[in-house]
Amino acid sequence: MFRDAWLVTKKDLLIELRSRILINQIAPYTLLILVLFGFALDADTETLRDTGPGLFWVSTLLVAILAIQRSVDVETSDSAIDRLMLSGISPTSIYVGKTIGLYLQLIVLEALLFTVMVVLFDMSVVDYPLVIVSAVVTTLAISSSGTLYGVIASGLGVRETLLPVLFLPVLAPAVIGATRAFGDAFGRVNADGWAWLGLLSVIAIVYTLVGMLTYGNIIEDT
Amino acid sequence: MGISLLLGIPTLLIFSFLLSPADDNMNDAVRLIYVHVPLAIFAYVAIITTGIGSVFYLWKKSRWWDTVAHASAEIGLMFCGLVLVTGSIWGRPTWNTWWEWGDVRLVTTLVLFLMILGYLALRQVPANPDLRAKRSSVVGIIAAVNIPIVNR
Repeated sequence: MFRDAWLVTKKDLLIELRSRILINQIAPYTLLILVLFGFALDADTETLRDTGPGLFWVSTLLVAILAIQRSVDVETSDSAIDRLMLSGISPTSIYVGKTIGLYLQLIVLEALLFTVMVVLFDMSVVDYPLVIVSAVVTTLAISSSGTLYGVIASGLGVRETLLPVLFLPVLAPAVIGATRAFGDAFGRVNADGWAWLGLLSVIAIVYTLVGMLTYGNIIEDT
Repeated sequence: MGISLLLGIPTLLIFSFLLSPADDNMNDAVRLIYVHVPLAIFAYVAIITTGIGSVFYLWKKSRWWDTVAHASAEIGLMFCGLVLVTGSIWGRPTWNTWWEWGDVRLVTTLVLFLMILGYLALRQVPANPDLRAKRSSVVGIIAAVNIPIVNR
């Protein structure tokens, strides 16, 4: 399964390297969101430092919606998904492959977002391991649920409006946990960030398992 | 069951709003708890029923289970909304605010409400009934597995 999944991941990453949608369009959008938040909060540095962790994860979710739509477009254009299914790769492998591909793209965007946030909001990290682990786990939750919901919302003619309505509430508990963890990692809140990793891990594992079990039912009709 | 409901609901209302004493700290606001908690239990039961109906639809491919899931989701949405409303009314005299972002259970209940709203939005999309039922089932399962997360 993982060999087939890796084939799907490589395909997605190769398409992205050649099209450069992530670099040319989604990455600038990422930066734009942060800048707009700075303007909206009246560019007071102390406020930005306090709200930075939350703004980071809200920005990540907004960017993830674009990345998910892009990931689904790759398959639905020119009936590519039909050819993928006919190739003999199992739906579970397709799901895992697309999740990993989306995960890697989101990690790159988050690294960029993180760097810009630290610079623009003048923030300093107190606990680097917590930042890395919480980002890794939360991104898995985002990519696993995003891959599933992207397909659920596709092919119905209302994807642009339906995907956010379905996807964002599901990730809200993860955002709460990730924001607390980041807040602790930046020394901005008096909370045990490591304790929130348990919730984040449960969310990531549950969404991944549900996706692996149900993805096949959904893409049959895409 | 209908008779026990007809007897039980007035009994609950009389005991909670008339016969039980006010609380030392919450005063008369405590009476809302007698309604708020059962509403929350009913909301969870309805959403779990949606999850069960969704699982059985994916397994048995029976339209009846899909109908059960859909109907339960509408009931769950109504009760979830009432939980939020009664919670806000209780919170106003107790916390001096209609909404408390620091209360994680309150916030996650709102999230559950939004998830069910999304489920019902998917239900309204014009599409092949079987296709819509399959996709709604997956969304219903995820909403149901979030119950333990909301209730933490």
